[in-house]
Amino acid sequence: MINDKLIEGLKRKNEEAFNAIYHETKRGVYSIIFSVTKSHQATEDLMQDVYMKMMQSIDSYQMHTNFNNWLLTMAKNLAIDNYRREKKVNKIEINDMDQMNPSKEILPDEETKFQLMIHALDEEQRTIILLRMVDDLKFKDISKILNKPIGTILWQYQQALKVIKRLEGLE
Amino acid sequence: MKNKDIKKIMKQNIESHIPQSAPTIDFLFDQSNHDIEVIKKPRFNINLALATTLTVMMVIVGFLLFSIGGVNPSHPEFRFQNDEQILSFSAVSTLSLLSTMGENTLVSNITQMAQTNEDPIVSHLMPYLKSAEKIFLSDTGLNVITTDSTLPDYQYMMTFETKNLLNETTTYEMHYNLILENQDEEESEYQLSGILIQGQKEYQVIGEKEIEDDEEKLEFRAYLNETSYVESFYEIENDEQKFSYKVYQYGQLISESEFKIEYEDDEIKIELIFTEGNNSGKFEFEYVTEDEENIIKIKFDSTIDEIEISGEITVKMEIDPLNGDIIYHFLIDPENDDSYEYDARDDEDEDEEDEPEDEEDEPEDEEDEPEDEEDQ
Repeated sequence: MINDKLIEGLKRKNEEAFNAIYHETKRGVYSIIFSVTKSHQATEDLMQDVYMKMMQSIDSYQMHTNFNNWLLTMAKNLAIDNYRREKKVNKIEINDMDQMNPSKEILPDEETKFQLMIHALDEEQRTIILLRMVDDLKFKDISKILNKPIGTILWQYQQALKVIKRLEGLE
Repeated sequence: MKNKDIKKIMKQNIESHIPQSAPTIDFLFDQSNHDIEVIKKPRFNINLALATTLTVMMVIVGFLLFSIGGVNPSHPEFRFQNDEQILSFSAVSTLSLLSTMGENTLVSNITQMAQTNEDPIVSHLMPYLKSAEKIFLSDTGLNVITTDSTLPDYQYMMTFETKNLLNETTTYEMHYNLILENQDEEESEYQLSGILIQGQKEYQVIGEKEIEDDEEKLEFRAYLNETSYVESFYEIENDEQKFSYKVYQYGQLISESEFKIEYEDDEIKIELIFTEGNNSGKFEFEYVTEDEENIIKIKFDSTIDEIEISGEITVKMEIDPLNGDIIYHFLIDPENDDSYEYDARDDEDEDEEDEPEDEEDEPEDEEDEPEDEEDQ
C-alpha cells in the first residue's frame, strides 16, 4: 500500500521507497502502457521511462491526492506521446506470434488467446480491461485516469467482454 | 468463455512479462534512510472472498426482505418502497424512451398504424403514456423479485412485472453485477452494470446510487449503443417523486423531460414536462375507470413544430380482433379545433416465449471470486 511515508521517501530519492512503489504500481503501469503499444518489448522499454519520469516529477506530485492515478495518468500520456512521436508501435499480428518469446508459464494456446483478445479490442477497451483485470483497479479510478464518465467506462467494459466472448477459437 | 477465464488469461500473460526488478535508474539514491515502512497489500484470500460474497448476499437479501415486507397491498398510496422499485421503474421508463430514437436505432417501437400520417402529439406523448400506464396499474409499486442470475456473466437477476390498461402483464428481467463501493451500517452507495431483457430484446444498462450531503441520488442508463442512450435521475421531495430524463442520440442531448408522481386526494397524479429542440409540452395524466374499462385522461398544453395546441386526450386500449395486436385508441380534443380519433399499435409489451440465448449456460462456479465485488 502506498502511504505518505513512502512518497516522502521517494521525494528524498530513497531507493527502498522507490522499489516498494515500483512493486505496488508495476501492474497498472505495465497494463496502461501495453494497452497503447500492444507489444511487451515496447512496454518494457517504456516502463523504464515512466519510472524515470516519476522520479523527475515527484516534487510536482501533490500530497494526499491519489498517487496511483497520478502515476498511471503519466504512464498513459507518455505511452501515447511515444506512439505519436516515433510511430513505432509494434503491431504484432497473430501470425507473428511464433517470433515472440512467451514466458515458460504461458502455454502457446494461452498466448494465442491473449493476443486474439488484445487485438480484438480498441485502445480504450484494452486499457479498461487490463486495468480492471490485471491491476484490480476500481471503475471509479479508471474513469478518473481516462477522464471519462464512470457510465462510459462501465459500458466500455461490458462491450469489451462481449467482443472477447464473440471471438472464435477461444474455447 | 466466462469472465473469470478472460481475467485469468489477461492476468497471467501480463504478469509473466512485468519485470520483477525495479528499473535501474541513474539517480543518486539516498542510502541513509532505511526506515521506510513497506505495507504489503493483503492478498485476496478465500476467507476474504467468502466474507465479501456473504456481505453482498446479505445486502441483496436485505433488499428483498425489505421489498416484500414494505409493500402493503391494502394501502392505496403509490410510493416506491425501495431502490429496487425505483430501478425497475427507471428501467421500464427509459426503455419506453429508447423507442423514440428513430428507425435506425429503433429496437422496441410503437408502430404507428398510419406511418405517413403520424400524429405529432401522440408521438411525443406515447413513451410517457406507457410509463404513466405502468404506474397507474401497479397499485402500490412494482412487484420486484431479486434472485441469483440465470446467466453466467451476472450475479443477480431482478424480475419485475408491469400491467397495461387491459391488465395484461409484461415481464422484464434485469441481470446485473453489483459493485459496492461504499457501505456503512445504514446505507450504501453502489453501481450496477448489466442487461435488461424484455422478450427477445436486450439492452445494456448501468445504475448508480450516490449519497451526497445526505441526499440520495439514483441514476440509471439504458443504452442502444455507446452514444445513444437514455439517462434517468430519481429524487423525492415532500410527497412528490420525480424522474428526470435525458435522451442522447449519437452523443447529442436531444430531449429532456421531468416526470412527477404525486399522491393527492387518494389519487395518483402524474405530470410530464418535456423539451425537445423547439418542441415542448406539458401533460397531466389521470387514471379513471368507466364501465369497468380502464382509461387514462390527459390534459395537454404543447408547442410542436411551432404550433401551439392544448386540450384533452382520452386513451383506451383494445385488442385487434384480426391479429391480437394491442391498440391504443386516442380521442384527441383540441381546445380550438374539432376532436379526432387516432390509433397506435404497440408491439413493446408482447411477451416473447423464447429464452435468451445465453440462458442455457451453466452458472458461474460459486467458489470463484465474484466478478465485481472486490471494490467494496
